Amino acid sequence: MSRKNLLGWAFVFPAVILITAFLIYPTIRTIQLSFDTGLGFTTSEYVGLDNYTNLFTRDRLFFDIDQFPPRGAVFNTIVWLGLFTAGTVGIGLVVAVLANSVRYEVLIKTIIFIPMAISFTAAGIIWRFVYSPDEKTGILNAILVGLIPSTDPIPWLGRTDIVNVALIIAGIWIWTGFCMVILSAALKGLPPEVIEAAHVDGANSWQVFWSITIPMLLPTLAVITTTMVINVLKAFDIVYIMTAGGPRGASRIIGFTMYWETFQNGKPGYGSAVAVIMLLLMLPFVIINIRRYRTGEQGT
Amino acid sequence: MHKRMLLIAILFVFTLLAIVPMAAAQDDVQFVSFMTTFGGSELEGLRHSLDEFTAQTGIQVIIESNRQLVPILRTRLAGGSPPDVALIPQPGTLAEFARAGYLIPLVNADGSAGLVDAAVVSDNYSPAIADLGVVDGVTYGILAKANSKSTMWYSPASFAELGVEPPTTWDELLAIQQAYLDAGLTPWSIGGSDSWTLTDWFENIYVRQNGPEKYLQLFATHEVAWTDPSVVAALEAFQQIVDPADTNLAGGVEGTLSTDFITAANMVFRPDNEAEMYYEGGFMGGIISSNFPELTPIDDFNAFLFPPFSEDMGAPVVGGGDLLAVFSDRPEVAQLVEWMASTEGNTLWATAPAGAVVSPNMNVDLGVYSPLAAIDAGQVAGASAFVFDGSDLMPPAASEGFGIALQEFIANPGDIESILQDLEDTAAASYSS
Repeated sequence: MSRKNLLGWAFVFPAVILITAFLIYPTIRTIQLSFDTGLGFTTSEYVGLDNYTNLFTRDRLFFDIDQFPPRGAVFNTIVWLGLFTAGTVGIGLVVAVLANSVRYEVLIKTIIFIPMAISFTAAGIIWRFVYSPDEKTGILNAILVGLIPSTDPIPWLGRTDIVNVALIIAGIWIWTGFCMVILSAALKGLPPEVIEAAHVDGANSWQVFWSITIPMLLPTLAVITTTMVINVLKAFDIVYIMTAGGPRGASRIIGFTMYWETFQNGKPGYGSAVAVIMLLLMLPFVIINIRRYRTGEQGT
Repeated sequence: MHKRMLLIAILFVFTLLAIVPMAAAQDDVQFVSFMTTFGGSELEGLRHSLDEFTAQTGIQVIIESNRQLVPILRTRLAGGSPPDVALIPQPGTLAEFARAGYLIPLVNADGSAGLVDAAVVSDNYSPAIADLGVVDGVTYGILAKANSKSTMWYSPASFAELGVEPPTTWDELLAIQQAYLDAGLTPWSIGGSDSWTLTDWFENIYVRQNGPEKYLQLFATHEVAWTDPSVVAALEAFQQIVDPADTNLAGGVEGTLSTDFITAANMVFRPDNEAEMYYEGGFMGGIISSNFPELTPIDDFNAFLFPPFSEDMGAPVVGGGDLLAVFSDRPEVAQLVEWMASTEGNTLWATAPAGAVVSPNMNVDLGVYSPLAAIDAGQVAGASAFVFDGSDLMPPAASEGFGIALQEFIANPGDIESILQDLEDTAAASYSS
């Protein structure tokens, strides 16, 4: 018995070491730094909750409820959560279902999936070209000026009112392929008898879709939705590459703020506070996902 | 058998490849690592000068180029392995690093030699430029390249027709504005949808009325509040330009606030021009040239220095640039610093076939520049004082508020007081955090 125990411990030992060194210690250290100025990435001066109160009361680029609609990284992230998640999952589902019934399914799915094969940095640069205010470079403005010659090109990434939507569209372009592939696989796994039975009973395609397909896809939809939500909460690369949070901080999101305050503005304590907030926001979704995986395992 | 021979031959070649560089490294070659944000032709320009340094001294310069220099520098400093030298684009970061003890003093506070002799700085740079690298009395940096944002662009033909010369005082500028109005023409075009064009206007006015010291107290340290009478006075001067917008500005209020900085310049220089004068930095020269290839610089479009308000405050230049900072005190690093400050090194950089820069070194002959760059270079090297763009010295949230406040000012120039109160509220919150 004790030997069996020992063997068990020996097996988990490497994993425990790795998780402690790369997960638990950094988390504790980040929480510790968030109560400090963190100058030079060391605990240099304890400041209590100052970083947190400053984030929510003084940092207009993080949290600004003085105007309507509220602005700042927190609210930009909320816009991302809504539009990005709905866009990726929604379009992914539509493409998966439609492609399922046509001859060129593989071709269509390949095209939609290709962005996933590009590094996010490259994808960001591609979209920066697409949005370029110079109509000789930017295809969007080329189309706009081509169709309506009297208009001026629109600086898509330079206007505070458009920039977030422009970034989200680029994000959707990258991630839709992922959602589509997962949903498509789930779709193919649905038992055909149920759908055939529904058709035999006189249901039309629309009814089959809403009353049969969607309910049966629900577990998969839930998993990719939470995955996309986590994706947004930790998103950083697109904003960093395409706008660096600009113009004037209008496209900052939480993940980007963490990086920028820590490394560009040299306030590791402040950045750590953002990281802790990110962790707290993400935790429920991670737990939901783990629970789902667990119940999945028990079911099989 | 042949295969084995081949394998041995390959192994032999690889071993040789590994040994040869090691032998070379032991051969007393000195290296200096150099970090910069430059890429593309900018980097070629810098290399053009540094290659000559290597040819003369045998010291190899290893350039690490990264657009996100400051974050990487911070990480390297925290990890204890900074580069030997770096070109830092923000004076605030230089001061922060100096106070944190990361930087090697180039010249001590008492004027004695730090890494280099005081003469290396004083022989090559005007006091105004040398001051930019000074933190708490100690010289920690040298302005390696710079650009002016104090250039007013105009059409010489239009001035000739009106019978005026480029102004040398604010009042002369207002007289030219009045002459255009009397002639039924619109004097100005401003690209106010890019709010930084408005903040640049304000910065130039403010530093001319109050001098560099107070300028820094307003923008960098916020010791001067935005409700200060000096700010009100500067906005009232700006009001002389923009109010009434219907007659003074092309497009009126709405046109100004929906026009970007390039379109605004085009409005002055295109054939059926809608305005006569345009203010923005020296970089506009290149943009105007490429938008209007048929125009000859100097003859068809030219620039004068943003005119001063009074003789004692003069005309400080507002601009941007990169400061050379040093992280290790080896003799070969000192040699590199001396080269970067030297007239020879700067002239080479200013005349590079690609990526030539405007050098703040006062001994670089203005004749080496293209006519457009010479305008910029003359303003930088001859500046009575040089200050960095104020909006870049502010915390981002305050900087954003500054731009928005000036857009509101264009729309409602009568509301100076309430606009400034709002800006002060934003600024007070962001400087202290």
